[in-house]
Amino acid sequence: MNAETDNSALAIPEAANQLGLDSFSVYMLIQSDLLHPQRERLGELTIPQNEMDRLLKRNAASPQQ
Amino acid sequence: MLKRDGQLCKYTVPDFVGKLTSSEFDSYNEAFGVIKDEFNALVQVKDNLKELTTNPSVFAIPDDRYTNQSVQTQHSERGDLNLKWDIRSCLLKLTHSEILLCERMTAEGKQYGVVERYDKESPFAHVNGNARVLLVGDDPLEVVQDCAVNAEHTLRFMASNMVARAQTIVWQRYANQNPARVIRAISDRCARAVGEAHNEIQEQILEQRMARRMMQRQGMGQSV
Repeated sequence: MNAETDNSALAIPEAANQLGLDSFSVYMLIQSDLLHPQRERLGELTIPQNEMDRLLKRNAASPQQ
Repeated sequence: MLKRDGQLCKYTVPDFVGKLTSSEFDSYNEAFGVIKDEFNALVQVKDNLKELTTNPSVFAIPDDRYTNQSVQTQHSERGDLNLKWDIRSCLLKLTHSEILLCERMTAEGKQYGVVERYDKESPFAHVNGNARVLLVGDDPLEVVQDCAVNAEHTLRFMASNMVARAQTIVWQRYANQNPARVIRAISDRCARAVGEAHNEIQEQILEQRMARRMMQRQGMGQSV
């Protein structure tokens, strides 16, 4: 079950699942300023959907270059 | 037996000294159930980290299992592209990635890097490449120790956000059932899970670095 967050935001484990990563790795991405979370009303950090889109579409051509 | 809000305080939960009433216990179980998988993952990383902290020098030694294996990163900290790193050892194994100690030759000498290698089939790796440099240095032991300290910070960050997540559940669904007490019980459990790691790591690394410096000074003294 998801804690109720902003409709367009994902809890960290859900974001990790979409990215195919561990939650631990997602927290490291946040600490490295590569992923930008938002803070919910009760303090939880969540990942906005547009941030997920940015991360998954960014550099889309790079691995093949 | 103590009573609160007309209910007996008879339920104990891990790492919390108080006892919970039946409705507090329900609230605790639902909220903790939401973070349980993440909590278990945190405990697993913490356990692996203990080994890394106790014997960092073991991890700095090249591991035969990784001989002739390399990993390619797209960017270095200086912006260099497509760098090839030789893998020296595995520092932490996660479910979807490995954190590796690597090395490469540069014009200035050998450089050591901690590289996270992701599952190449993951959506993240498809777009961003399957390896990322986490930190670099010129001393393998110090790089391993810094990696342990950084991982410990990440665990604390993770635990703090897990508590915030559980808090959201408790306040939204059990606001009338002593939410502060339930949140404290969850918070204590998460703090306990990372707290020991924090103290151990900081103290052990400081001790190891001091001992190493003393040995280096003694070595210099003998050679004079």
